[in-house]
Amino acid sequence: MKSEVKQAKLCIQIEKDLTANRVKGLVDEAKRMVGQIDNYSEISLDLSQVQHIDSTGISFIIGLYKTACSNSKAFKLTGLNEDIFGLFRLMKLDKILEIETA
Amino acid sequence: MQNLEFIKEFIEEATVHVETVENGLLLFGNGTDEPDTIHGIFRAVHSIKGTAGFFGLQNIIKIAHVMENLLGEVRNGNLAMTNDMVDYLLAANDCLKEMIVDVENSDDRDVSVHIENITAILENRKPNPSIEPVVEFVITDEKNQEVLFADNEKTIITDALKHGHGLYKIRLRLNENIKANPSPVMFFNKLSSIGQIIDSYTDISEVGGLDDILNADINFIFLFTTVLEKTLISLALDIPEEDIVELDIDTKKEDLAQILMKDLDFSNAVQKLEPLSVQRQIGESNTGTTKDIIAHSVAIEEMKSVNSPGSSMISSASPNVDDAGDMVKKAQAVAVDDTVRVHVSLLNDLLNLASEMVLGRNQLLRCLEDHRKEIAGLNSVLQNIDNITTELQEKIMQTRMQPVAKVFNKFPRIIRELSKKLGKDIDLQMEGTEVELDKSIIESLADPLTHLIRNAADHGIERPELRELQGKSKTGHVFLKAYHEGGRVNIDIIDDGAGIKVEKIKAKALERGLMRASEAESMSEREILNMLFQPGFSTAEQVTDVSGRGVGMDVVKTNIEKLGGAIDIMTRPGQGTTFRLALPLTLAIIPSLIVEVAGQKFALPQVNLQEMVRIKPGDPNRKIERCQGAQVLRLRGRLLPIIHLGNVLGLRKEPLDTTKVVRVLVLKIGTKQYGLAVDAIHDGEEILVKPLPKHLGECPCYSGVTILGDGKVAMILNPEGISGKANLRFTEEQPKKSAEEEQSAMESMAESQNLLLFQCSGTETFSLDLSMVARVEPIQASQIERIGEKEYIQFRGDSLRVIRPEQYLPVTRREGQPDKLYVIIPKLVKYPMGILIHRIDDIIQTRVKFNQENIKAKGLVGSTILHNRIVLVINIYDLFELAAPDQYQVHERHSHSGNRRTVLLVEDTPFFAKMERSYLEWAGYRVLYGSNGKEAWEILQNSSVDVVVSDIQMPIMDGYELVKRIRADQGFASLPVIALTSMTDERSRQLGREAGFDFYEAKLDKERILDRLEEALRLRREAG
Repeated sequence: MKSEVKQAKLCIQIEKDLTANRVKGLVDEAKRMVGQIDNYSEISLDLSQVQHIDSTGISFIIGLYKTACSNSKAFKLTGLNEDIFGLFRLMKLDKILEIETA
Repeated sequence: MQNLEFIKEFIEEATVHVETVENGLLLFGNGTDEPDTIHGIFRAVHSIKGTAGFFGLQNIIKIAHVMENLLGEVRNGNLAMTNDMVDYLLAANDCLKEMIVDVENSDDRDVSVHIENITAILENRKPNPSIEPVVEFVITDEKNQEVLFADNEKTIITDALKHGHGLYKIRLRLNENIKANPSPVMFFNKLSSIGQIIDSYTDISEVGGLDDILNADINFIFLFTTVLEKTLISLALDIPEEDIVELDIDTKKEDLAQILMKDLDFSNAVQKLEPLSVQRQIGESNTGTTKDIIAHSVAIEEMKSVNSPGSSMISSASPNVDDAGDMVKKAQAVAVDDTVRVHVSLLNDLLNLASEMVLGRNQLLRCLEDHRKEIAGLNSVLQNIDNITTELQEKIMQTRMQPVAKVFNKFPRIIRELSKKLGKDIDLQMEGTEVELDKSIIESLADPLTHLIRNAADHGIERPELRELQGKSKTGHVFLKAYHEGGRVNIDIIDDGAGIKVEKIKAKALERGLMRASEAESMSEREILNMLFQPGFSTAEQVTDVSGRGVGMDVVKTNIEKLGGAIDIMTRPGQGTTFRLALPLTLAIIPSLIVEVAGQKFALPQVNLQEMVRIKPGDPNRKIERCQGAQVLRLRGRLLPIIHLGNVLGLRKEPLDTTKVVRVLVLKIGTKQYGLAVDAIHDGEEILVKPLPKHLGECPCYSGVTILGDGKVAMILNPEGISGKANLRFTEEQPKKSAEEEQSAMESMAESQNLLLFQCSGTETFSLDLSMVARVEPIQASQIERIGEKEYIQFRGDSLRVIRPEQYLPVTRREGQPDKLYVIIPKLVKYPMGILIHRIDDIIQTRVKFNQENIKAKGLVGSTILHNRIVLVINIYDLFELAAPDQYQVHERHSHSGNRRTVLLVEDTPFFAKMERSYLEWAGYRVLYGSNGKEAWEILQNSSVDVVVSDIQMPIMDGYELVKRIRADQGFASLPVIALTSMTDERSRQLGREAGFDFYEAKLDKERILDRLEEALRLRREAG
């Protein structure tokens, strides 16, 4: 997981698949990044490297989104592949999360 | 208020019924019109009314009564169930629920609203057909409906309708349900390959932030249309069937919206109940950006407005939506349930944690042992932690305990089917169904027990002709009994069939090459019987006379042993066979003894430990001898095979050195005993059993592994496996001894009673069955007060008459009494009197062989010999009748007929069944019991019954049908049948008489019921 802050935007890139066994490792890292509240006003989660996602992966995105909300930060998803975007649309998560399409 | 226990029972029962009603009504709400559903609801309401009537709970009766009326109309097809009716009934049901929880104050409530509402529906009854929903699907252009049904969705539904697809609401928990599928993407692909999603809602409220990710789940609820049936969907998607709700395809679009909303509301309500998440929600909504919550509430708003135009037409009569919501909330607040459903995995986790805690405690105790005195206050803290940990662990264990009834309950059916199939007459009796075992044991017990029961019926019990030839009753008996014994639970499967012929087994085993002839000579009967458990035996095809009893027995044995149990056979040719399973209460934590061999520590389960013996060289009473080439221990005249643990495990080579002190543990497995010598014996310790690691495979000597208080790993010894590995030969002397035990055990199993032995002023010893005794209280002679001819004591703030048996029975009497006496307070009698006795001798469990001839007197059942003394068995009813003839007149009347009459009691409500049964038995009838018409009919086929007493409203087969069936059968033409019911209006009476009941009586009117019974029996005698 890579992250950088550009123009008050916290860009997080997930580097591989977002699945249960990886999520466990990502949580603490994500907490650390998101924890520095003062540095940013928006989180942008880049999923362009993610081929597969499972239910825990979805929970991770929601969790990140909820954390952003509770810190009064905006939240955006970018770089979703077709499958994942389709899934999010099916689950109507596109109505809840802001998703930037390529 | 009347008897508290009965009230409690009523509350429990009624709570279940209220739930049934609610679930049933909700099914109607979803568009079901299964006749079973309405019958179920009707019966439930009826039962509530019936039992409430007994306690005189007017408000509950009133509401239940109108509900019953309305449901009755629906059931009879005079009214169709509409959504409004469902609402009213639900509201009334909620009110019932609240009143049931708070029974005492139920009569203070105002219930008129519900009664009026329902009565209004009843009075305006409308013709049936016009209310039927018409299969039409008009989509209007109202804006708020667009949200739920976009254009393509309309087409989907219309298409689905055209093609006869099913419409389902499916509720998924992403983590839980999709786990089995490779990924959500593939899951949804699969989903779209079998059908179409019409609408969905994703509830992400459970995930509060990054911390919750691994624990929280996402709920995905969707409407789905497919050609597949419910079961197939469940199979195809690998999700539980309960999560799929089939919707009526006729459901109008508004209802569809409502259906989704129901789930939204539900998840919302759950959140509100949980203070933590409320805070979270507030926190989030303060930020003002939480779209899901906004989206959520918007959705609800929209749906409400969808709902309102339809319902506003009749809004004057319909309960306000908000009110209903309030009501639900109130009900939730008031109806704090006594029980909570918890997932087994959570219990397992708790158990594991508690077990670890026990370990931790053990380690802590060990570490701090030396500092107890140095640190002030440490001792009490340690003791406290010690106690609390033990208690905590016990309680958690209890949550996993389940009654064996769970397994036993399926056996009556199996036996019934087998007896039909085999053409045998088999009667199954079960005892101790309330005995509890750990859930995992209960679950693994089903297969072995079924196997044994089948065996007993199939191979054990002989054909009826054969039985008659042998002078046995035509009906074979299989007796299934569970009971506690020394920290274990024994389950006996007893049959009174042919028994197993040892010679045949021996011949078969020789033939199969399972043993050598020379071995066979020296083998005891027990060892030969145990050959049945050899795998070699199991592959044998059906052996004629031995009757293939070995089939699968090795599997049974392995299964039982895996549970840490043991299995034993006792058989007597021509008289029957008993299989005894000895099972541990639980698998997780066991008390054990830590022993040491060659510097290694081992844990030995305490259950198997009989005694510890220290053998000094030259002690004449305990010495190690040699017998048939093996070492044996002579202990109190018995010879026990003895082996050193180190030799078995290969930790040492040299044989037992008898010139030094030897420490021997006497172990017992089933009825076998042997001595196990060890180097040193340490402490007792509670150990947590962990399964053997895989790489140790199936080492017979170990049953598991554990971590000791000092943090070291220790193997748990398996005494059964050790004796097997060491090839111990149990000497002939032992089986002889155990044969006696066996016999007494078999007898005690057949019909054992707990008897209280006591003496009065004379020399005779009396006994009374413990089941008749409520308690025994010591009293001072000075506490007895004389009033006229009678004596009284004060008991629990009331006066209780006490009687001296010797005054009424033909026994010796001595003047004078000791200062200290005892009073036996009996139970199961209507007018209790204390029985004054001088001395309690003993309480014994024994099989009583009554002699009813030699010593005959009113007040005595008969006599029996116990401990070489004559013991008189008291008939408490007769005794009381002698002491208080006026009060017990009714009883006298009934018991006079001499031979006990058999009543078949048919009643589905456990409460009434219990009450009525106690009346009938009290009055001297033998009672057979069936919980519905079908069961009763089956009992009638197999047993001789003098009179039938039946409820009307019952599941499966009701009283009307039962009596019709009886009347249609020539064989039962003169059998009197009495209806006992709470429906006592004239019309019901009329119906009852038409159906063929001889008498029609109200429940719980004891005197009348007994009168009627007598009359019915008299009429029958006259007719016969």
